[in-house]
Amino acid sequence: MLDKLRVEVRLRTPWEAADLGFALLREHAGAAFGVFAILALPLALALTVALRSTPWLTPLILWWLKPLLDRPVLHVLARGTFGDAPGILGTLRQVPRLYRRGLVAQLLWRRPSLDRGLLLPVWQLEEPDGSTYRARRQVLLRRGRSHAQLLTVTCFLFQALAFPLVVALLAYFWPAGGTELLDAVFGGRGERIAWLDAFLWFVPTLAMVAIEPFYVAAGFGLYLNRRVQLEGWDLELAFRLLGERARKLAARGLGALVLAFLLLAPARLQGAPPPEEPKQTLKAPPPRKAKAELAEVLKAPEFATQRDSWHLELREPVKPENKTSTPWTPPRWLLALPKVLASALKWTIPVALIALVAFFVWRNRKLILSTLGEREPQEAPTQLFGLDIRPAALPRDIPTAALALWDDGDPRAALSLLYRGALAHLVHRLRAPLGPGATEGDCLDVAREALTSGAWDYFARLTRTWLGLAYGGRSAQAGDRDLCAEWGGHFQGRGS
Amino acid sequence: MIDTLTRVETPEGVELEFSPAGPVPRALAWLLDAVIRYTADGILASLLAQLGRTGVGIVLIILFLMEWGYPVIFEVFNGGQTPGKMALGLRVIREDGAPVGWSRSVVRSLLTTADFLPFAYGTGLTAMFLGRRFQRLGDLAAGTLVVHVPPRFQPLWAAGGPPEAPFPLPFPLTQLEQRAVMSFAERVPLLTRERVEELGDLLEPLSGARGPEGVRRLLAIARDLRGQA
Amino acid sequence: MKQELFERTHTAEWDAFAAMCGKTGQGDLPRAYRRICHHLALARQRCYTAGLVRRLDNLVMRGHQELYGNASGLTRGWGDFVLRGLPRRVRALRGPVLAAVLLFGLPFGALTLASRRNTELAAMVESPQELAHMESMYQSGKEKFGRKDAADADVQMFGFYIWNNVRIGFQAFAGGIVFGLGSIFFLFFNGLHGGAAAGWVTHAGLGRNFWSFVVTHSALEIPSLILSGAAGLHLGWALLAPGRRRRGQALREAVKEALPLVYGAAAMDVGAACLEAFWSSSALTPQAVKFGAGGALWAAVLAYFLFAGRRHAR
Repeated sequence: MLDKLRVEVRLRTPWEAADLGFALLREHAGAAFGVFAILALPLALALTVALRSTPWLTPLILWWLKPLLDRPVLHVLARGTFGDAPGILGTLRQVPRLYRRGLVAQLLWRRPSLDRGLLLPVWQLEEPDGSTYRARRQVLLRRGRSHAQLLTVTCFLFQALAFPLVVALLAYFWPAGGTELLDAVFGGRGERIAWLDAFLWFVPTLAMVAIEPFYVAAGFGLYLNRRVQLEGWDLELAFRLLGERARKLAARGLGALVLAFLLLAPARLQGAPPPEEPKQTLKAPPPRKAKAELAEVLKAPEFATQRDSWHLELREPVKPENKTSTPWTPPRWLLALPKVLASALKWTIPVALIALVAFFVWRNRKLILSTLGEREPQEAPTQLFGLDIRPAALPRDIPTAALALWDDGDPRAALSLLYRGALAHLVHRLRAPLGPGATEGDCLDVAREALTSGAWDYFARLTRTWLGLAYGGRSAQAGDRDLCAEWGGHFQGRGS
Repeated sequence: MIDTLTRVETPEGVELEFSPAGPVPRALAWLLDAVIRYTADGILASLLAQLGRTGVGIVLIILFLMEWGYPVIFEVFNGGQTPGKMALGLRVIREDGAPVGWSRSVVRSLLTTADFLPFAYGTGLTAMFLGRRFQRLGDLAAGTLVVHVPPRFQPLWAAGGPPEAPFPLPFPLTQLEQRAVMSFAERVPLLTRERVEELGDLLEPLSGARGPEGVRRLLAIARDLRGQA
Repeated sequence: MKQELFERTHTAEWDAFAAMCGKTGQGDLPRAYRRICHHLALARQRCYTAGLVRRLDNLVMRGHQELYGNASGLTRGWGDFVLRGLPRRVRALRGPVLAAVLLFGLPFGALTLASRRNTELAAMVESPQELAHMESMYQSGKEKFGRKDAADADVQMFGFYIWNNVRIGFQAFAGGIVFGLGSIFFLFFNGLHGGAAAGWVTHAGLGRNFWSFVVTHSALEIPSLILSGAAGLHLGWALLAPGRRRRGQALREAVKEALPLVYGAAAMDVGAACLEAFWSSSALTPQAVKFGAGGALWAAVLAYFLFAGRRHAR
C-alpha cells in the first residue's frame, strides 16, 4: 500500500533515482551488506578450498553467481521501501522462498544482460510469465535504459579494477621491490607465497561484497522511479488523502449529505466495485492491463522515439596520394628549432617572472609605500547591494525616524533604514573593510570582528529580520519594533 | 521519509532545493574528463616530443597544469562544470548555493589526492556513502556540493483542447490538494489512460463521477484552479 | 491570485531576467533578482504547480550564481595578500609551522651531521645506486654542477621541478586530511632523504659543489615544503581536536585558514624551480656569489615571514 511508503516519491531524473537507491541502502546498510556478506563469504571460502589448484576460477564463478546473492539484498530494500525492512536473520529465513522463481533464467540467459540492475526487481518482485514479461520489459526500458546500462558498466569497472589496483598498490610498497611481487604472483620464477595468493584472489570477492549492494540499490532506485513515472504514485498518495477528506466532509451536514447522495448515487447504481487495492504494491499490473498500457504508452507523445545519429564525413573524398619513398629531410631551421627555443625559454621564463614581480610592485606601490610609511585611507563604498549608505543620505536621528516610519505602517522602510544606518556605521565609523561587491553574509562576517558581541547579536538579528521581510516574503512581527529602540544602544548615526 | 534533496537558504531568505549527485554519475563524469585530459596530454606530448629535452620540459609543465588546473579552470569559468560534468548534468556549487570560487575549487582539486587513497577513490566513495549529501573529502573540506542540474522547465500543461464548462468544487481545497490536482492535469500525457482513470476514481467523492467523466471533471477543476477558466 | 494570472503578469519579467543572467553589466540585476526571489516565495506559499515552482527555482538559482559569482576573486587584493596577509597567516599558524620545521629539520640535520662520519646511516635511507648516482651528479661539470650545453636541459629541468616539487607540496597538504599523517610523512621523509644526500655527498668530498647548488634556491624551496606541510598539519589537528565545533565545521575553518599557505608555497615553488633550473647548476657564477645571494635570499624570506605586515595588525 502506497501510504506505507518510506521514500519521498516525486518525479526524478534517472540519476537522481539511482541516488535515491543509495539513500535507501544507507538506511538499511546493516541488513543489506550483512546478508550479502554472510552468503557470499562462506561461498567464496568453499569455492577457494574446492578450487585450490586454479585460484583464479573462484572470483569468476562467484561473479557469475551474483544473482543468487542479489536477491536477499533486493528483498531488504524492497521491504524497506515500505517501512518494514527485515533484519539479517529475518532475511536469511526468507532465503529459500526468495529463490523460488526465475532463478534459472537469471543465472543462465538473463545473466549477461546489461539492463540487469533495472530488471532485477521485475524478475524477483513481479514474477511475470513469458509474454507479460516481454511487454513489461519493453515498457520499463523505454526510458532510462541507457542509465541502467551505464550503471552496470560503472559497477563492473569498479569491481574489475579492484584486483589490478590492489596488486599495483602492494607492488608499490613491497619491501623487496615491485617486480619481485609480480613474479611471486604471476610469474613462474619467483617463490610463490601462499598467504599472498589466497589474499589476492580474495580481493575480487571483497570488492564484490563492497559494491554489489550499491548496484542492486541503484537499479532498484531506477525501477522505483519508472513505476512512479508510469503510475503516478505521488498523485495516488495525494488523491487518497483528498478523497478521504472529501468523503468525511460529505458525510457531515445535511446539505453535504444531499450532495454526497447526488454525487455518489450514479456510481452505486452502476454497481461499480470499490477500487481494489493491490495486495502487494510492487506486483506488476495484471497482464491485460499491461498490454493495454503498453499500447497506450506508445501513443503518448513523450514516448515518440527520437534517435540522434551522427557520423563524421569527409567533405571531399581523399585522393590517393602518390607516395614517393624518398625519406623527408627536415630543413635546417627546423632541426635548430629546439635549441633556439630552449635558449629563448631559458631567458624568457626568468625574465617573465622578474617582470611579474616588478609589475606586482608597481601595481601595489601605494600599498607598499603605506606599509613603509603612513597608512592611506581606504575608499569606502557609497552603496552596498543596492542600499545607499552614504551618511549624508541618512537622517540625523535614525532610531526616531525609523520608529516614525514603523508607526506610519511601513515596517519595511523602517527596517531598511535601520539596516542602512548600521552598515553606514560599520563602513564609515569603524572603517570595516567592505568593498562594493560585499554581500549581506560578508557584512555579518566582518561585523563579527568589528563589533562587540552584544552589538553583533543585534546586528545579526536585524539582518535576519530585514532579509526575511524584504525578500523572504515574511511579514513584520510586533516584536520587531523593538529593533528601532535598541538601535541607538549599539550604533551611532551622523549627528550624535 | 528517505529523500535525496538538500535545502539551502539564500541570503534573501529564499529556500533553494538541490539534489546532490551520487557516485555513479560522478564516476562517469570523471571517466569522461580523464579521457579528455589524457587525450589532450597525449597529443601535446607527442607533438612536443619532437623538440627534444626542451619539449620534455614544456610537456611536464603542461602535465602539471592539466593535473591540477583542469577541474579548477572549468569549475570557475564554466559555472561549476567540467566537460564531463556537463555531459552528465552535474554542477559544483558552494554549500550555500553560490558558485564555487577559486579557493574552494582549488581545495577540491588538491584533496582529490586524498580521496583517491588507497585506490580507486576508496576514501572518497566511503565518505560519500557515509554523509547525507554525497560529499567526498574534498567537498567536505571546501564546503561544496556536486548537484544535479535540474532539468529544463517544460510546460506539460495540455495547451489545446476545447474549453470545458467549469465544475464547481463542493468544498475549498487546501493548497497542497490544489497542487495535487494541478499536477495531475500536468501529467495526464505521461500516464496510461487506465491509470488516469484509476487515479480519477480515487477522487470520486470530489468529482462525483468515475471513469472518463470523472477525469474530465478533475481537469476542469484543475483548469479552474489554475485560472484558465 | 490564480496561477494563470500570476504567470501572465510576470512572464515578461522572468524572460527579461533570464536574458539578463546571460550577460554581465546589464540592467539592475540585484533588484530583478530580489523580485524573482519574492515571486518564488509567493509561488511556494500559494502552492502553485510544481512546474512553475521549478521554473522560478531555476531562475533564482541562475540569479544567485550570477550575483554571487565572482570569478576575478584571485587577483583582487593579491597585493594585500602578499604584503600582509600571507606572513600574518603564517604567524597566526605558528604552531603547525614550528611543528613542520621540526619534522623536516630534525631528520635533515641529524642525518646530515651523522652520515658525514657514518655513511651506513645514509645507506640505510637510500639505495646504493641512488647514492652513486647522487655522487656522480655533483661532480664538477655534471648534471647538478655546471652542466654544459645547457639551455635545453635547463628548460627540461624547469618543467620537471614544477611538475614534481609543486606536486609534492600539494600532496603534503592533502595528506594532512588523514589526521595529519600524510603531512608528517612527506615532511619527515623529505628531511630524511635530503639529510642523507647532504651527508653522503659531503662525505664524498663534494660538499662545496653540493651546498653551492642547494643554497641558491633552498631559501624558497624548503620554506615552501614547510608551509605546505604546516597547512596539512593544521587540517589534521582540526580533525583530531575540533574543540567545541563539529568536525566538519572545524575542518572547513581550518582549510580556510590554511589555504593561503598552500598558495604561498606554490608560488615560492615556482620561484625555486626557476632558480634551480636556470641558475643553481650554472658553472659561470662563482661559488662565492652563489653563497652570498643564497644567504641574502634566506635572510629576506625569514624577515618577510617574521616581520611583514606587522605594523597594521589589528
